[in-house]
Amino acid sequence: MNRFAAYAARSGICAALGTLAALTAQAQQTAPAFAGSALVEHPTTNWPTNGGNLYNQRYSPLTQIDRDNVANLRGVWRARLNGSGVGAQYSGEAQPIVYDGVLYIVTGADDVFAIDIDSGEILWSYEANLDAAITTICCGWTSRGVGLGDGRVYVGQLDGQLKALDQQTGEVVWATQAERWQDGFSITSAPLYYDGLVITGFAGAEYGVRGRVKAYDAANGEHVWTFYTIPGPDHVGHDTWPQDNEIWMHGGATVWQTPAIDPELGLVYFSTGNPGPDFNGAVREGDNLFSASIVAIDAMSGEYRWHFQQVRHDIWDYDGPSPVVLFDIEIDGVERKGLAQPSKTGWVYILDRTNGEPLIGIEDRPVPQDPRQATAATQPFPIGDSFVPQSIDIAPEGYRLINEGRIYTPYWTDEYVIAKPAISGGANWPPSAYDPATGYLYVCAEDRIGVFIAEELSEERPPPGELYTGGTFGAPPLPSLGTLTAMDMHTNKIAWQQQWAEPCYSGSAATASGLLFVGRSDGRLTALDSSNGDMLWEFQTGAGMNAPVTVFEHNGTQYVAAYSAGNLFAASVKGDSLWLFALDGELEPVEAGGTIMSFPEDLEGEADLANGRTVYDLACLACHGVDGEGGHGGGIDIRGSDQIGAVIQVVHEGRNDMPGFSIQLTPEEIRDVSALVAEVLAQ
Amino acid sequence: MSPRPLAKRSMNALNARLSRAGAPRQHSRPVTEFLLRSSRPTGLGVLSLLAVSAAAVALSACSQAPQPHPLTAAPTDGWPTNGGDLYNRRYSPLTEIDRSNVANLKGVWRARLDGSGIGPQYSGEAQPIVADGVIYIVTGANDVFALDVETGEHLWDYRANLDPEINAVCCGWTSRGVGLGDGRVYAGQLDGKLVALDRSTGEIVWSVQAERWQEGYTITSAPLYYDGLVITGFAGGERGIRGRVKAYDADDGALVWTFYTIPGPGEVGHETWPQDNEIWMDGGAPVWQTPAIDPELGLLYFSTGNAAPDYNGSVRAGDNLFAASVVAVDVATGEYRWHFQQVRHDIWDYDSPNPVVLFDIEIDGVERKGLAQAGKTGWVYILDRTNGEPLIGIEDRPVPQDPRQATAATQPFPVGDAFIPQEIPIAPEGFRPVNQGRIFTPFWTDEPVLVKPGVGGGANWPPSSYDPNTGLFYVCARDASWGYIAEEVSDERPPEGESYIAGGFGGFALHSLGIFAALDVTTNTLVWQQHWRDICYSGSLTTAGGLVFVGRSDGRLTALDSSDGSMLWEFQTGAGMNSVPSTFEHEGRQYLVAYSAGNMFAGSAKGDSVWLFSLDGMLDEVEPGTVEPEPPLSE
Repeated sequence: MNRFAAYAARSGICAALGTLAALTAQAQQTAPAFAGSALVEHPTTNWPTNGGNLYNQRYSPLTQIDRDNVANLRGVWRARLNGSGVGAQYSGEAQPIVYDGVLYIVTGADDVFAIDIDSGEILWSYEANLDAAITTICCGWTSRGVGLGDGRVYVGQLDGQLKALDQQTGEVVWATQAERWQDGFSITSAPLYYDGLVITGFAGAEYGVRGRVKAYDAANGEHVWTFYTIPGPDHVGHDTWPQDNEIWMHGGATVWQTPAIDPELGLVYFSTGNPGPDFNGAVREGDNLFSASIVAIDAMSGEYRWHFQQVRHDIWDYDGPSPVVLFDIEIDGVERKGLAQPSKTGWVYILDRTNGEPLIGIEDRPVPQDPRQATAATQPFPIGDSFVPQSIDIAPEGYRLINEGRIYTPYWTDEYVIAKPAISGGANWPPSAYDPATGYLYVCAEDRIGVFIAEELSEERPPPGELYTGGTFGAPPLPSLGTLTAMDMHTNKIAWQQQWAEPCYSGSAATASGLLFVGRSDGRLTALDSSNGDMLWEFQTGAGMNAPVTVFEHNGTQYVAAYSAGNLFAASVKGDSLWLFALDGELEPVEAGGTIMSFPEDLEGEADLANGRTVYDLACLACHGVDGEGGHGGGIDIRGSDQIGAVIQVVHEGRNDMPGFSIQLTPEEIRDVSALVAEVLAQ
Repeated sequence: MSPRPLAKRSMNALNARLSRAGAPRQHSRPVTEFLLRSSRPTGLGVLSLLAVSAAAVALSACSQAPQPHPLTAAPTDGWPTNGGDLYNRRYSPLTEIDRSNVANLKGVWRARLDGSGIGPQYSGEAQPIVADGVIYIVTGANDVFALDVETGEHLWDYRANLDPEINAVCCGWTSRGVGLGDGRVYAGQLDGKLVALDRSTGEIVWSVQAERWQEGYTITSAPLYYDGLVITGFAGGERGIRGRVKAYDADDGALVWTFYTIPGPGEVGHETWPQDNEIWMDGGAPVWQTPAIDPELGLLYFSTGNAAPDYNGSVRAGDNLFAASVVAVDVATGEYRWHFQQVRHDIWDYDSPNPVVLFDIEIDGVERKGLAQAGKTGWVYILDRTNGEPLIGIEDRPVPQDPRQATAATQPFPVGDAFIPQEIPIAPEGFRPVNQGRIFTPFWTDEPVLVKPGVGGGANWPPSSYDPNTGLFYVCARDASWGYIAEEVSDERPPEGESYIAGGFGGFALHSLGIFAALDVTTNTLVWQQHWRDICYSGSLTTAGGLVFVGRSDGRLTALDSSDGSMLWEFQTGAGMNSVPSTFEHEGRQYLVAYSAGNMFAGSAKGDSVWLFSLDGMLDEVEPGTVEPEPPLSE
């Protein structure tokens, strides 16, 4: 069934309009089976791949919108996505794809929408109808984008399915159960179309998975190759895992961002996640390759080429989720093929992408040791500047300051240890833009205190699909800040930097006219002068602006497209809007979203504990763990919270870094989930 | 010096003269008698009183062994003066409540103050005074209440009925406490009045218009009773005033002496102001905290506020003495003795509202008479109180210059640790990084410059406490930056009572955090320090039981282990706990009394409660109060 027709029927839009729109859609050009080289070009009339080009540079050569006129930028239209992705558990992190006048966006519910650039009308929509019972999502229900090529739109789903949709109709052309969510795998990154292949990684390092990247035949979804990020017996790097247990089969090292490709070298580049169990290194002595590494593999065969490990034997969840960026740059008069990856550690790792050697310089330095954690003797310290603080000057109340809270301070099961950065970074998933004219990489990051503690763990293999972290963490004792930094790739030094009062949780796009577009959790989309960070334009979109924007030209006009949908981890207001901006737009900014409702004093009815469990799994589990023990998102152990009134208050208003849910949950849902916490989990 | 009024001769004037004549000032009356004296019988004439006083003085002068002044001893059966003792140590030798049992501390009663001080403009910053089973507290509305320790009942109340038209209050309607002595309770009011209330009835014994609010003067600090004098400073550094401290006769409110914190022509320090304009007459340097006294040295110590206009130094080239200084004057005469300027030619509003604390301590085997003052700058200035010289070391260092602001070439940098960060490693969005936002970075009219600390400090009014057993000094502070910008201003004198700051400030770019720190006064280094999510805006009390009590804006009163800052007890009082509690023994029991009333600048929930705590209390903590949505912007 034509998705648009289905939508039109549901929405009561007249059939004539639906037919017209469908006809319009069919007049659109579909994407070709792009040649790799075509996708290396900087995008102009389209934004055909997640990172703008295969180098993941998120750079537009367009100059119609510039520093002088960007203040005039207004909305052309604001499309609403039928409420998809509006709900406590969702995050809107997707970068819009644009091809020949049609924009493709995916929501946190994995629903895909095709929208007409000229009118803002929905041409078709695909509804994923995800199973609400999925429990293996660590970090909010999200998708960071779709892939495009060969007339199809590719979507990776949280339930482990990879699907190809007809670009003109949204109908499913093929679907494959790439991995099972029941085994801990989910897809949160945008699939990458390259040369007849659809390439995707899988998240799940908190659920005992063995990380992998897979390539499928774009024509029919047939599996072509698999690269395991944890090498098996006899493969390079297997010796960095214990040989007397099977933890390596659950050792994480997931790939949860879209890789970059150099077609000329024929290499796929990505960075990998933390080893599992995250916080207990005792059961996985060794460097734990290829976790927390940058890896290059052959694009056609998936064969290993080289790797560079950023964090040896990671016990801080210092993985590298921000997409790798490729660039060609002249250093000391020599043209170099570079690669940069901004990590949770707070450093940009700059490598020669031909061989994985440091391009600027990375030194091995001794770090504090704790034999109980089997800590690595040394860690790589990139030369240059870090883009977030990596130590703590003053102990927050309630904590002892150990080793000045420096990066790589070890900890064990006996005491909460604080260090910077936190498990969330540094740089997290928000993509970095790169300006080839200046060599600046724009890094969006968090400045937060990490609170670490390990838990005892056996060397037995964990049950499939269950949380496997080997530790927890406390709430950051001080407010978390953000940094936005321009790093010079010639030197790995800060060109300019600014501190924000909230984490930077969106990513950026740069243009040849000296602009940097970056979103804010308070709902503003902003344009900065890319040479110094001065704000030139801001526009309230009505919901958390927690996704990178897309820039393109259509019929002679330069546009900026932005998905404004909010984010679970950023505690921002949820929405379902796709905004299109141009210099001749006429729509003004809207009110900041969200109305905080007071909690009714006389709420009637008994709490429904089953409903409370449903709400908990969707809204709370990511941070507080399956049974309140603390989870991956930074939530504390809440198993002592047995006062229903106090729980209601915290759920309603939030506390410390936890958002209040008064906007996202109904009073009944708050009552139910609070009852679950106070009466079930606290027992 | 102002001319001494000669109209009335009273006990203090006589004492003052005796003192000046060289008679050693000794005090033989026990503190209880000293405090218990009820208000003067109406029938008793001035002459007979004078006779009694003179006899007492004569007795004192004749006694052979010098006795320490009773108010310099750490308080036990009461809390007789704002700082606990005349040294402002806020230290109690009581040990019934200690580290091992403080977790059992509960409310004995909670008294409500008839809604006084609840309202957006008010702040509850007063330290309770306790004597003979009665607690005296003053609200932000300047209403005074006497409460029975046994029952929490109101024995009497005094209503200030302040004129709501008062517009000279810079920083919230508040009073930081009352004074007590000679059978009277002394209250300084926001309308510039100083009143003496009968401590048995609350009736006004005398009232003087010490200064006029219409000219920019207010009283926000607790008056200090000392040997027949009632001493008070005046706020108003943002209103074009000339700072001053005044002493009044406790008997009748007659003015005894005035010390101007900005010296007039011919006096020490006058040359640090331009000689071709009259800005010095409006140059600020107010005193808005309760001084300390060393009776043995006969000296009164206080620190002074910012120079005015606050943010434009171009019209007041020079060091601007005695702004942002610690000053010692003769307590009997108000005569200048010494000063130490903490910030020369201040343009950052780095004044010194934190009460000075006196202490005696052995350093390198020598017993020293010390003085410590925690500045908005983020340093503790530790001086020898006999002469004002640095006790630990304070270095002069060059600082960045801006000739348009006539900046001072150097500033004093105390040796040791600052208790807050004094720079901004990463510039917040919207600000150009200038000199890494370091302390003493100048600014002008062209662009806001972000500097740390800001106008709020560092340490503000919340009093520090000092433990004489350990030499640890506890500082309550904030870690915040501020965007400074100057405004052009003429060198004409400003209109009377109007705002006179010549600049803007603001730039709430990042969260303001709190700091609570323990420093060793023998080295001026940090022993422990903790960062809070919220500013520390209450002050502290420390005890020989190894505790330091400190309130939180979220309504909690907490007890920390004074050796390492670990939290041992917390109790939700229902409103912002933004004042210092007092502790005392009554009928063999140690009590803690706290005024929980909220604060305008802390943005905390308002209330009208006085809580009494003890180990056998039965009252549990209450729900937190409702916070007003937006704290106001300036300070």
